[in-house]
Amino acid sequence: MDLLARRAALPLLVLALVLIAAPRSAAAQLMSPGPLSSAHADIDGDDNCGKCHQSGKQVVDSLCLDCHKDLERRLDAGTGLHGREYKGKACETCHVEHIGRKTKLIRWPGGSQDKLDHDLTGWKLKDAHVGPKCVDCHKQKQPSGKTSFLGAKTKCAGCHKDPHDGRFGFDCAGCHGEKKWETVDLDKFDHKRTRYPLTGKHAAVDCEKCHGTPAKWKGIEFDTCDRCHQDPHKGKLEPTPCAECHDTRSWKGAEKKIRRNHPRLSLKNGHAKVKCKTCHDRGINKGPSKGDDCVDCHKAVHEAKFGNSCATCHKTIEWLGLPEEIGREAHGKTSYPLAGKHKQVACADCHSPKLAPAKRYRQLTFDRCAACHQDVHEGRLTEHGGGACETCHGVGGFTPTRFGVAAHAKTAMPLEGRHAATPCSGCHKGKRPRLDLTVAKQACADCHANPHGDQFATEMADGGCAHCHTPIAWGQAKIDHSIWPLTGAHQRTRCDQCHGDASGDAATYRGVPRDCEGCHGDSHAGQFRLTEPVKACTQCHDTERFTIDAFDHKGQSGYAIEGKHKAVKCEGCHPTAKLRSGVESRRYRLGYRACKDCHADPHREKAR
Amino acid sequence: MVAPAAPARTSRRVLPFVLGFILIAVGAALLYRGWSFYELSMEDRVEHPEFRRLRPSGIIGNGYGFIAGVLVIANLSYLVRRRFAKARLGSMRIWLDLHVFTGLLAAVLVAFHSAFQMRTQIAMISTVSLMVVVLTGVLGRFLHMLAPATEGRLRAAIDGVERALPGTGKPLSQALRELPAPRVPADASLVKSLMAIPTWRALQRRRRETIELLLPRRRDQSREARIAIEELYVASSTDARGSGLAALLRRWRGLHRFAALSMIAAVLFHAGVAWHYGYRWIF
Repeated sequence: MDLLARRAALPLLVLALVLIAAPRSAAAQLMSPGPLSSAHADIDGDDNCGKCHQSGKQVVDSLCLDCHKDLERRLDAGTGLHGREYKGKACETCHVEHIGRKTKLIRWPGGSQDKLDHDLTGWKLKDAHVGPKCVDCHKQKQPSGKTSFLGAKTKCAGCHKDPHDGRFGFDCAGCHGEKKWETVDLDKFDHKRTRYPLTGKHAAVDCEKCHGTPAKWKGIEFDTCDRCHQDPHKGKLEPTPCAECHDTRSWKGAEKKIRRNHPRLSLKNGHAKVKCKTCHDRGINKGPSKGDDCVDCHKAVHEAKFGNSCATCHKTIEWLGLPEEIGREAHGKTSYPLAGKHKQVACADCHSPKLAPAKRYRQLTFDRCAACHQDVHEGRLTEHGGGACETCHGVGGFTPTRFGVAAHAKTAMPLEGRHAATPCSGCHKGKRPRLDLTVAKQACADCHANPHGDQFATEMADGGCAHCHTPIAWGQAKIDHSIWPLTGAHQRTRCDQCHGDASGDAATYRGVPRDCEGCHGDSHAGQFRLTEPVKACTQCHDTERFTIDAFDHKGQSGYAIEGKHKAVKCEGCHPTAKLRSGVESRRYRLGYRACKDCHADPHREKAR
Repeated sequence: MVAPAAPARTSRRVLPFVLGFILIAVGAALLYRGWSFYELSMEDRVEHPEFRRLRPSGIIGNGYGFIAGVLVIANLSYLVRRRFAKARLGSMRIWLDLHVFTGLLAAVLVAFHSAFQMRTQIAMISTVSLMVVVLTGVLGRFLHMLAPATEGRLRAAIDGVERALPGTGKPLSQALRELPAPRVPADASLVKSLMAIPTWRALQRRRRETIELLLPRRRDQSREARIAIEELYVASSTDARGSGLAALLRRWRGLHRFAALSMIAAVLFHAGVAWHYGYRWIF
């Protein structure tokens, strides 16, 4: 290779690198044999070869179907144009790519969309379906907005609105053809699917007799028989509908049904053996001459005022063993209406079948609870003057009881104050329901601990806790503080500030100091306590407040404040100073009273 | 000076014609066969019954590409032959003729393989480089035809004229020595080689004028003398462009190789991608 060729090697290498590393827009089509169609434009470019191609396999159908799932389903199912005509064929056979952006990917069999033989899709277009344009039926859209020809439903209801509101199912073709909607094949028409199935004699009636000529399919009234039939009873049996007695099988052969659905009165059991003529002595269409009420034939047997409408309860004419719901409903008219839990008790629990019929109902005693219920308290409450169950219990249930605070007041232990809010289980131990309600210990100390120790042994011996406390509240004790009356600020001071924390065991009520110094500090640093004349705190201060509103200077100190001295502030004469004890405090005991002790002599200079 | 052997001249004349005929015949046959397809637009080709066979990935279209690739490889064997110039591997002229033939036939087949479309960068690069290779090859072949003979040819031509027209040899030798051929260095660049053309063209003109002045008119001479004078004109002209044309041909050959390498790189890339994705013709 000569010099130029050798020199060319480097530029050639650079050229190759530039082509490989060129910007994507340029490099995008380096390997591609041509632009993809607009439908696949989003996967155009060399980065996306693997979306359709596999190494060594050219175009791979499974990769196409990875995106076109709807087609995959059709191919698998063998339905639609693809499933029927192109199963097993390579997608690329028809959908040729890399031809250009404007390429038509779909090449319709027949040459164009309009010329497609729709038989190939498995749904042949006939009669009225031949006329519409493709898009009239294929209204589904692809994500791109183009018309999709996949997934159009072949059921009539897929395109047509069902004027029958689904009453006739979805097999429209069962009655209608494809030529014209109005054309109905009556031979195929199944009247059972209508709101008025034809049964019995109706099945043999000609269509025209009901639908007229020309036939009218809509708006025919059929809710009652008299829309078509005349009433031979001339309205005497109204409002009983005809169907109560008659059916479509035969007008005359309705005796069994009439007896079964006999108006006003059941013909079961006892009446079943009674012939029609026995009661309808004046003819079938006329009522009994004796009257329509039970008591017209039967004697009244009830003591309770159940009235003469026997059929209200005895529809089936079974005198004993009424239907339970009727018995429960009628029980309210007896002298023992059912209430509360009694409504749920089985009839036989009270009206035991073991009892004779007379004792079972009319002679049943119910004046006391104990007539039916056992005393679960085993007479213990009777011993305490109780015993009437209803004092504590109601028919609503054994628990909760009606025994409350008011009833408790009548016992040896009336519930007052906090005791009224204490749950029953606080005193009455044992499992629920508590049948034994006696409480053996009733003193305070039986339930409560004594936090005072032996401080109030005398009081405890004289009335116990109640000597000071009440059940209202522990803190509201009946304390007699008259030995050391609480006045002034002491009335507002909390007990524990003098007696210690009352919540613990450290509260002290005995030996509490009664002098001021026992609780208060000496803010005068002993000036009135350690020097003569000694003065008690109360000589100047009272219990209302520490500060002194009107100090009698002359009376207390023997030195009257007069003249200009009235305008002088206290600290003018009583400054804060370090006392002999070394404590810094306001000095009240001055030890001097002469003018010169405070004032300089203005005449001294002149005299000199 | 040694004149080319007569049999070699004969084979050189016949073989190019035969190869040229084959080339044209193949091109015409392929065009005739696929004309109805190739004349269509890309859109319409898809509907053509031969689309699946004649498209670049089709059994026929891809076959064109594979055969073209084989021809390109065969074409490169000429380089091997040149590397071993002294080996007894046949006439270099025949090798050159085959080199030209395989190159042109490969170009034709590539055109049919691509179905006359250049729609991608790799196709564009391949085609442009192929066109450059073909054009530089054709021009190189022309330059090769003008390749200078050895220096002995001019001496032999002067001796031939002396034999036909005694007494003319000496003045001719003296006059032509005073008009020496320009010496272009063997490693001169392509630009320098091209710039030397006017120089040796002017020398050719001046030598011809000198020969015309020194010799009597040809039409008055015998046939043998006319042939000898004609050979002198040719030998003089060939000698004048001697080194300049040799340098130009050398540079031109380099350009041809560069274009060929570019084309081969592009073709290898293209073929590699196609092979990877399974477009392997019958393999």
